[in-house]
Amino acid sequence: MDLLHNLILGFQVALTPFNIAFCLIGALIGTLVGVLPGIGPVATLAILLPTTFYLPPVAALIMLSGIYYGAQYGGSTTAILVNLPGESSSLVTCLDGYAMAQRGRAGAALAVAALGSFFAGTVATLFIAIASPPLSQVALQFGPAEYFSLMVLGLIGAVVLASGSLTKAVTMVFLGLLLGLVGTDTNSGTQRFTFGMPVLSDGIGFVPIAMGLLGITEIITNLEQQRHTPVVMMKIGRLMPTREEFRRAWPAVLRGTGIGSLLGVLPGGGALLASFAAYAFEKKVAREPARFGRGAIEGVAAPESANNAGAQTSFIPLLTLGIPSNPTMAVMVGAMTIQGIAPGPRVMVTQPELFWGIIASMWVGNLALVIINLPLIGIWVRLLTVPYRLLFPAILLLCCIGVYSLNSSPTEVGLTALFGFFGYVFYKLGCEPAPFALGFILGPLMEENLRRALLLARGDPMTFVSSPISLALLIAAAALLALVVVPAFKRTRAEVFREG
Amino acid sequence: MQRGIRLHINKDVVAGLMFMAWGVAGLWLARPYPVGTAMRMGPGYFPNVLGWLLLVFGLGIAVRGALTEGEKLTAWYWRPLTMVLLSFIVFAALIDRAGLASAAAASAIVGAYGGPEFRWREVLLLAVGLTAGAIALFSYALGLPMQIWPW
Repeated sequence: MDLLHNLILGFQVALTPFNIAFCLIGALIGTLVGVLPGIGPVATLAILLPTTFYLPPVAALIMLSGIYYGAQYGGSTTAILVNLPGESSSLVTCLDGYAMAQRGRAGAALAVAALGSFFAGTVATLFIAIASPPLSQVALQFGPAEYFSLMVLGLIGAVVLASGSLTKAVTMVFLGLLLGLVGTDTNSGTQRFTFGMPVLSDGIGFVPIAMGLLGITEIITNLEQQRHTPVVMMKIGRLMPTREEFRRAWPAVLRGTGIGSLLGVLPGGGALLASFAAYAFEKKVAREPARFGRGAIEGVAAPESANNAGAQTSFIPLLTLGIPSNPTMAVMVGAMTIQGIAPGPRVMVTQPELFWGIIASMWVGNLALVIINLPLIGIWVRLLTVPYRLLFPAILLLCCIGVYSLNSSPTEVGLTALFGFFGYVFYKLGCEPAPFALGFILGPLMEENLRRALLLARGDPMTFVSSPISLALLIAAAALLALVVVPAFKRTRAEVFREG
Repeated sequence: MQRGIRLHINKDVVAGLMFMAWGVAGLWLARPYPVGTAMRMGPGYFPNVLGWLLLVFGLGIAVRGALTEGEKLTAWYWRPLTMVLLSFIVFAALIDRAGLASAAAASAIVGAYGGPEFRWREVLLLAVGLTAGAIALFSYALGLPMQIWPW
């Protein structure tokens, strides 16, 4: 009854008024950015990172995770009502969700999306609680060689499962790794790439990098696209699904939850991949695939359940292995580091209240989100009428003060601008920032583990293949890479991301 | 019939060149760091490996890009780019010298100038409101140690 005991411990932490408050704040902010197109959850997490410095670790992480899964709820609202995906993971929801809205069934689509998400969130919470302890037990046995191989697998997985050009993504990882080396070398104490600047002696801060590359670039590109889409909102109508809709929706919710939970754990996985894959799968198993795109309720139920499940289970590699699997999780690593917590298998042992508190809070947050979303939907949609030209200067100012407040360093504010510029260049050249962020976070860890492993093995590189765990991880990484070359897989990969 | 190979300039070519530039910069800056051996790596080992990887992959991307049609380069929109970045630089320049009030107001006005529409009256109101809000939230409510006025 360890599980029960652990969950009770978690709820004791999550249900303190203070933590409930931050869970709610996270869920509200998440819904907000989910509804508003143009600001994604990664950008929001990066922008709010400095504020978590002033919170206790549990509250900070509860709030940040609330933003990530909250955005999955909010994203469906605008997708269904105005045919604008508030979030990229809600892109496929537009297809059938908006079609349902045009037929006057928006209420049912919203209700199915919210209830499906809640069901998926509950299952995913349980899944994390069951899967994490054994995984972290395994991870506790890891030496530097196993860790290095695990990180190789993580980076390759992230690249293979990401959309876009593979070679460019790999090269972005290298670039991230290189910039991750800036600062004092832990083994020799040498200052590398610091240009004699004291700000850089501890490395480039993660906040300026994340905020610049993921946050500011998004604002600039939004301004350049200048969406003037007139917002035509569909009538919501009755929330209750009909018996027929219900009969069609629930198996789709089950399938979406399963697909999402599994894909969330994969390196490179998360909400985005989960929703696309669930929609593609639903279309494949449907008896009349022609209904899709014309308001099939399965096309709303499956991806919306999947993206919420995937958002949550992507916490598993982070919490048990300390490896971020997508850029959102990389930002979470940054948040943990700010709090002085080294993510990894030790967290569960040394800080069980933190670990189980976050997990229990996810369920609390999901419950809150159903309540926030269904009755209050009108208020959220009205937010869409706030013009972006008034919104973005406020976000910029929040970024400036946030970065500055971390170390009272104007130089870091300047660095943020510099990385905003690099982010724009990457965007213009079709290079994705996500692999870069993962490389940057993992770079110093990889180098340290590689050097330590070789030191322990007296310089014998066979240490990476003589350990069975390390060998298995490397074989998995090689298999993933080999898979990409297989034309059939290449086609499926392109197909999954083109749906929409 | 057309003879010879037609070379293209597209996103991949420029991206490849950019990666190569990063690689060269990394290798150049890493010159003073001892490389060591694979057995006992010096601080220069990893930077050198990554520098060469960037150079080689960058070259590959550029060459492959030049041989295919690829994605066309798109125009840069200078106004949002420069104004948004300037709003950070203005903030960084003013915050320690002139305090939060003027830094916040200046940053908001400069940033807003990068937007699709710039109406003086609206922007001034926005800047005053945001500055007051920032001072109330960060200085009073959260108690961050920041100078507010230049004096």
